[in-house]
Amino acid sequence: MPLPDYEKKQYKVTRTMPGAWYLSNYKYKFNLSRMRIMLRGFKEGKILGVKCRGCNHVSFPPKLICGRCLVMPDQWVTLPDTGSVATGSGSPRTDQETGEIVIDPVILVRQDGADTVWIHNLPENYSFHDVYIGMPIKVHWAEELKGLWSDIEYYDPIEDMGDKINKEELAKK
Amino acid sequence: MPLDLEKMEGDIFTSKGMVKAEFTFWVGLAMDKFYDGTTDQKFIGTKCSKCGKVFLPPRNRCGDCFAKAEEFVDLPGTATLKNFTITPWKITERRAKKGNKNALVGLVQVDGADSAFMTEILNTTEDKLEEGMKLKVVWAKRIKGHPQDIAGFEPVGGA
Amino acid sequence: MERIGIVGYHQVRPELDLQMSPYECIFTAVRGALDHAGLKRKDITTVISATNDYYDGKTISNCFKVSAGGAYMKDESKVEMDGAHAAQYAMFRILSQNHKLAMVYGFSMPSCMPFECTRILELDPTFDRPISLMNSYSTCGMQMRAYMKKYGVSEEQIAEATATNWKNAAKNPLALQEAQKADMTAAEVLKSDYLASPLRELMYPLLGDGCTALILAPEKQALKITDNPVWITGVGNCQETYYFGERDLTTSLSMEKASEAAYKMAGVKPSDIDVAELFGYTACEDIILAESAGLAEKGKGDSLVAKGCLNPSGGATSGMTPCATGLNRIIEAVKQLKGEAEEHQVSGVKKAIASGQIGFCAQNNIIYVLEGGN
Repeated sequence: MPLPDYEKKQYKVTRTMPGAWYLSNYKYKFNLSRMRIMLRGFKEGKILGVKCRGCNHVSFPPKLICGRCLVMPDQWVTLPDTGSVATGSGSPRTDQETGEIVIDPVILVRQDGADTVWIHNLPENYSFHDVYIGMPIKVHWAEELKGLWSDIEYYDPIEDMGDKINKEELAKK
Repeated sequence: MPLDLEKMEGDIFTSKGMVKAEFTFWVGLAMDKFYDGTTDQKFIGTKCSKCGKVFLPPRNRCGDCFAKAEEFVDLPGTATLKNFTITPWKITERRAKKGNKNALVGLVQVDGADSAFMTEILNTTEDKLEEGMKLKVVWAKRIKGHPQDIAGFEPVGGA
Repeated sequence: MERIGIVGYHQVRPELDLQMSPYECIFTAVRGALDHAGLKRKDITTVISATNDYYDGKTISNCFKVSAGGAYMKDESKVEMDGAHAAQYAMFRILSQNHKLAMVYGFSMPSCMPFECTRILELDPTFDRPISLMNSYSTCGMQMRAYMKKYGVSEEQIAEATATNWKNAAKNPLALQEAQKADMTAAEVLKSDYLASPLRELMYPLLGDGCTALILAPEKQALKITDNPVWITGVGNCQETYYFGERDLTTSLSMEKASEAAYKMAGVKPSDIDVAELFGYTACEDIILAESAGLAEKGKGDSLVAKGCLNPSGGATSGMTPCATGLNRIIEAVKQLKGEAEEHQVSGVKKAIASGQIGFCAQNNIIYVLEGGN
């Protein structure tokens, strides 16, 4: 059945009055006690997560309040450098020189031993199509550790050690 | 400016907001007619079809009867003072400042209307203000269809 | 109506610049209320929060506060008015028999936002906002002038009532420290600068950061948790028109209708009430609200302040936290009924009322009738 013709109705346009919400007059308070301890760990090259005694839930980056138990967790655990890709996505862009569409991967990392994820990058120009869920990765520290969030530059994929381990086993026999 | 957590005393860090969220509001059919009236230097209000109350600034519906109030009526430029206050504070969306001079703020009801609105009282002093005195409107020098077309009200018969 | 019991509460003492982040502050209040009642987080079935987007500086202001308010994986909602309105919403949820125990909390931080400028955003953007003459100070000033003229009340009488509020706040351990002045006199109030004549600077309340939490339970469960809970037997809510020029400022029509409904629901008369904890911005507004609730004759309300049965805790003068002051008034009334208010206790309290408001010059009023506790 054919659709009826669309009728454009005229409506009266009235004046307008401007208004604004000046958020520049507002301030926001943050509690940085947990972040301070985590950044001190970065300066020494250590990854620290906080553990809730009520539910044994380890969170990295550290949380202020545990929602399940309604307590402020205070036990600190050292986590290893390795982690895995929990999930990822890609943001496409057009390469300036070749004109092709290149996809830059962005990943959510779960540090080994932690129960939470956070967002980070893989090395520059890493191909998006080689990323898979569960891929093992490792922290790539910055050259100079200053106690800032940028001390973790990005995550390196762990190389496939299969053929080296196999050669060593065969050499032993 | 990077934050140095080791030098910070206490656990609380305060940061400032940075943006301004802007809106534009359609004024509506009734207020559009009101501003058409102020460009010609006269007051236009609306009248309720059921109880006959007249509103200035105009509205589409009467609050008590919930009947339509779409009849436009012309109102004169004279008014009565219902209430007043004298304040040095000027508070807008952007800042709250205490000025040096006092502003005379009054609640005026235009003759023939049943609602009052806030405006400034000009060309008089604090001790001459009293409830029930007669006022007339003073239009702004540059009229542009904006609430500030009404510069204020002044007492009838001079200060 | 089935009675609703108040079984636990906790108020974080307000401060001018609280050194806590918002989540820590709410956590302290909610955890404190649970410990006060002896309950665990798993007993809560619903959480209602009273926070305002414009006061927090971010929209959907309750989304990050879920863990701190004890609402993780629970039924949660928000009321963007006073804490007392959030308590009414929690009451609806319990009376519908869909939920059992409710946690209510109200929070804001006036040290982080320009409160007076933010209230301008309540106004009509096509006419009132660009003119910028209607604000909290000028509306309170006009209300005071209209009341003083109609009933012949002098400025000294209102200053005397204000000084009594400051002195009562000095006896309240949960009052803002800068609001506790045991040696305030009417003469000192009259010497301060005008904010908007005849309103003076010392008549307007001080704003403090804080959070308040309250736990409500249905009748059977309340009797299992504690031996003598305080019962909410009546509630009334009414709203007037927004247009300031049409309102009669010498009385509060919304309080008259709300208190009529609350008294009828509870089956009491105004003469049965022993203590009233009403939320009014200034002492003059406290008196107008008390007269509209039927506690005194029109024009003679300041005698209630002198007698000590109106706001014995100091009212909003003891430290006002936007969105939480209504809950503070309910907690003070509960303390009076249970006999736990130490220095400012009024003797022989059997029935009390508590109120909250929102809007310019108490445009919307909500009032509770409370009984029991002993």
